[in-house]
Amino acid sequence: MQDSHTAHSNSLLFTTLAEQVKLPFVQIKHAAELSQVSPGKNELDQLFRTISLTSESALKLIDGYLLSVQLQQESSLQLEPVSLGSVMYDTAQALEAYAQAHDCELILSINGKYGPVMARQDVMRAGLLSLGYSFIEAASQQGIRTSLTLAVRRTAQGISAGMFSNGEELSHGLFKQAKLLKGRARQPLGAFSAGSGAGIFVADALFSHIESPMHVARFNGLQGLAATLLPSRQLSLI
Amino acid sequence: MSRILLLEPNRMLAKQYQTYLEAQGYTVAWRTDAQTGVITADDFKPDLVIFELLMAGHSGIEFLYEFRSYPDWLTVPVIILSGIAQEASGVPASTLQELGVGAYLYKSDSSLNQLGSTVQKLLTRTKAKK
Repeated sequence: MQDSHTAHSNSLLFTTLAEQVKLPFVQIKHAAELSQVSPGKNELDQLFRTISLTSESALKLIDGYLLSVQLQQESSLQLEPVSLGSVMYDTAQALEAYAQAHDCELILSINGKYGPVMARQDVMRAGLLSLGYSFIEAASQQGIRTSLTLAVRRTAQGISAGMFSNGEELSHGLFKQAKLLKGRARQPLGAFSAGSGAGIFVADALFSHIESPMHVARFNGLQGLAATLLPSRQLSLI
Repeated sequence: MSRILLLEPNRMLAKQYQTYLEAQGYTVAWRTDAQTGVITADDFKPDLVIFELLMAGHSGIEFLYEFRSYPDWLTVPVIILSGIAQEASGVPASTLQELGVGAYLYKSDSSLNQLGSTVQKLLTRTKAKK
């Protein structure tokens, strides 16, 4: 049974999710309306592409939220060795079309050799996707073409994986404030989260379940959010 | 041909509004935030402004206070087109009236055709006053 704190936190997360998924529905509704106004083949192709991308982003966000709720109900969470490189590569591929549609350049940086980490593959993928969608939408609000980097690096605490932007400064205090305002007020993380910031909070909930809550991180002078994972003791075969 | 300044942070949504309004014969300048919105208004000289309340940096209401502080823009009609419903926006109806907001459209509730007819109505009303 959920305690009242968990129930309240879930309710706030659900509020941010509901706020966030309104936007893709509005886009889909308008795409349908525009198909009546601009019936040329190229325009229709463009509209169907919009529908496909926006519904995909909303579905992935909802899936991430549902996974975080399911994880709460698991009595003991079994972590497993996960190849971070493979998850990062899949995530970058899944985000590529969405980034292009938002005039964003997405860079994947997995330089170096990283063995498996202790995590859950489904959680890692869902968390990084949610984070990625949020960063892409926020970056596109800057009005200029922006680069985002999906990166892995080794730190003293373990192996850190996250999303980074050359946007404004992101401090620990600001991230803490954003979490306190979750589901209650306008988000202060303009360069990192669009709308209610659901992508960031869903990712944070997911990573927290695998004992790697998201934190503010730096990568090559870029600002971002990352989760730090412990290396698996299993030998890497590659 | 009337000029519309559109302040909408979401790129995909902005493209949809721009496509629709241009198909109706308007010239549209799209910006993502309040600050560049004010700068653009200076050059573009819009006949009407459509803006979202939730923008990175300054909010739509902050934009509107700034916009209305210039005598040239006191009578330019404005439309709020927001993802927040008016009742939930925290902005009193009296403030919207004082700032000369011609219409408040909630995105979830509004179609492109409703936006188009609101734009046309406000532009017609402004021309009639001149």
